[in-house]
Amino acid sequence: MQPRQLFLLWRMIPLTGFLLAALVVGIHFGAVELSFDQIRQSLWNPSEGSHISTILWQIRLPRVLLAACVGGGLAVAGAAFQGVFRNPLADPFVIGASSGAALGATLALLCIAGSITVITATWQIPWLILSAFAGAILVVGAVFVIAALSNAGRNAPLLTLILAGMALSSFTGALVSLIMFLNHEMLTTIFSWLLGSFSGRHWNEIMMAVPVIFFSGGLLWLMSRPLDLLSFGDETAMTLGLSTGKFRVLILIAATLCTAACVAVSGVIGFLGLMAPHMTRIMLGPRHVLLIPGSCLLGATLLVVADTLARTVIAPAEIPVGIVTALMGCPFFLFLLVSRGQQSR
Amino acid sequence: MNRFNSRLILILLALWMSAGCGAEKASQNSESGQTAASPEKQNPSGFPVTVKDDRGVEVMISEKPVRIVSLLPSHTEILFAIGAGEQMVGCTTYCNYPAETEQLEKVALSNPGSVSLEVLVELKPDLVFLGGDYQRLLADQLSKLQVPVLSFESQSVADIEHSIRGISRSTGHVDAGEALIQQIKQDIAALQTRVKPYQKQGEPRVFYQVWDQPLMTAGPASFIGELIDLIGGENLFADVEIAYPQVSEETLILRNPDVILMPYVNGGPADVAASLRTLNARPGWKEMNAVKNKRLYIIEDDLISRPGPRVVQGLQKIAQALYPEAFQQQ
Repeated sequence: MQPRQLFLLWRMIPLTGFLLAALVVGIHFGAVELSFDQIRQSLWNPSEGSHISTILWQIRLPRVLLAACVGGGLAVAGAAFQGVFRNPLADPFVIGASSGAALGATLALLCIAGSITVITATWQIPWLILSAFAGAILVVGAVFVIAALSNAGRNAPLLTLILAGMALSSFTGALVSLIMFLNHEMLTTIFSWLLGSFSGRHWNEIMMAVPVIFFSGGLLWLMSRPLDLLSFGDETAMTLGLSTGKFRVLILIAATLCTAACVAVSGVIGFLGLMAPHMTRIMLGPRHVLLIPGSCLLGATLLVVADTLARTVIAPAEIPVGIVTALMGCPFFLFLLVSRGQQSR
Repeated sequence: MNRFNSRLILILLALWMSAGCGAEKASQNSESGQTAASPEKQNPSGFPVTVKDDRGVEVMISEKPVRIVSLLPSHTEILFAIGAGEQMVGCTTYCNYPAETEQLEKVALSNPGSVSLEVLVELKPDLVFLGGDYQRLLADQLSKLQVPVLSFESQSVADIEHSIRGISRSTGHVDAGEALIQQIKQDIAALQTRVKPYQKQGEPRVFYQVWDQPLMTAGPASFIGELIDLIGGENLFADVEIAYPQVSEETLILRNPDVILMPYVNGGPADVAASLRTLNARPGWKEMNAVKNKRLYIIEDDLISRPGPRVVQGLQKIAQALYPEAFQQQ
């Protein structure tokens, strides 16, 4: 990284501030009211067996942290996909990761509920997460194979990828709908999973997903320079001496891995991966060195806030967080679009 | 987004349709409770008879129906309980009780709204029983095809009596129907008196876990919630209006249930020990009264989700779970 770009990192400070504020808010508010004093006490000396400690350490803290990591991961993956595809509509789910994960999770839920295979209770959650992850990787892998098989002309591989991704998404989406239709007693469960939720996620889920998210997200940040070049178009990138094919595949794999890990622990949380990178672009400009960490911080902030709302609005009941991200995100995003349009005029 | 929209619509439709899950007890439901409860007593079990159903439609049944089709499992159970089983020709693929349903034609009902009209009409039914807002469209379609249809709600304990009355009048089993209603009332009252002495130490606080991830329970607006309330359990999430809400684990731990109930779907594992181990492994659940005292009970789903004649059995299971002392002496 060049010194000048490093210098630009100061622009991360407000976003980091937002994230810290969101984390504090997320830890403070919940279905159970805890005062700052209670929180401070049980954070410094967690006592075994007290309700407050259990709620704070075992339930709220992991949930808030997981929301932050998933938000960051989805936003980074979204930024990378938008860069690679040079398409502002691309989101983390564009080449089938979400529908693949949904299919995997649906099948896993079916296995758990039905007596197809007997799964001991302790393994249900890891089994669900691994199935979702496997489903996402499988579908995206199939998309890549299809794109590779079709030896289309110049500049076409990107288009083939998107189209194949769309087609396979519809296909797996239809399979999920079919499974839901045939097992309508499982509808609510599968449906809740599809809408995304952090309900009942603990440290285990963090242990499983966060290393993958960090690794692939970090990899994407390291590839910001190639991403910059790729977003100019293949020809420009090649003129500037970049082996486009190799980097593109590497970026797509890293972004998919990141998405799959997020979807596996949280379900399908829509709109965030589209919104966060665009908002960051409006604030920080299009360079990926800034865009990727910026999206990560903003995505994390937004999802922590959204999950806090999901937990508290109709407490003690909860709303799936995916509904909140879309409901709150869209108007804010549109407002940003409009206000930026007026500035540039 | 388009794909998700269409899926959403599909799911919402199906959700409304699924019996027992249809949360909203429409206001129409309660007002209909009075209309059918006031039968113009004509010659009992004599035909022709005019019955008004929950849509407010009056159906004239000229002679005793002998080709009855039921599109709700709870209605099927009622029909057999009042002795009208022999007049039936068809029921849904979900109707699994009593065993005689095996011999009936099964109308595929992969999803409560998706019955094939052709298959249904081919059975040449002379009376079709269904219920709920979600089968409203179907009822209207059948009416247009000149198939006599009666729609009775099936979502609450009050609906049971109401449905039995309507079904028994229209099939010519008025006496059996009234007897069944009395029997159910007596049995429920007997259960209530039986647990009454044990309520002095306070009602146990009950958490009914519909699903674990996301954590879902049954609110007081649901049939199961109503049963828990009826037998003297304090629903841990009595303050939630949604019938089957996703709830906060934090609140669950803070409110600390004395008893945890779970459903098992037919054939599913009812391994209480294994389930207890899972609950123990969940952070914060170890300290719950219910888990500490091993008061986890797994109850057959059909008994507590179908507002039918077997409600008494379901209620007894819940009563045994909440007040085991009341059932030990014998």
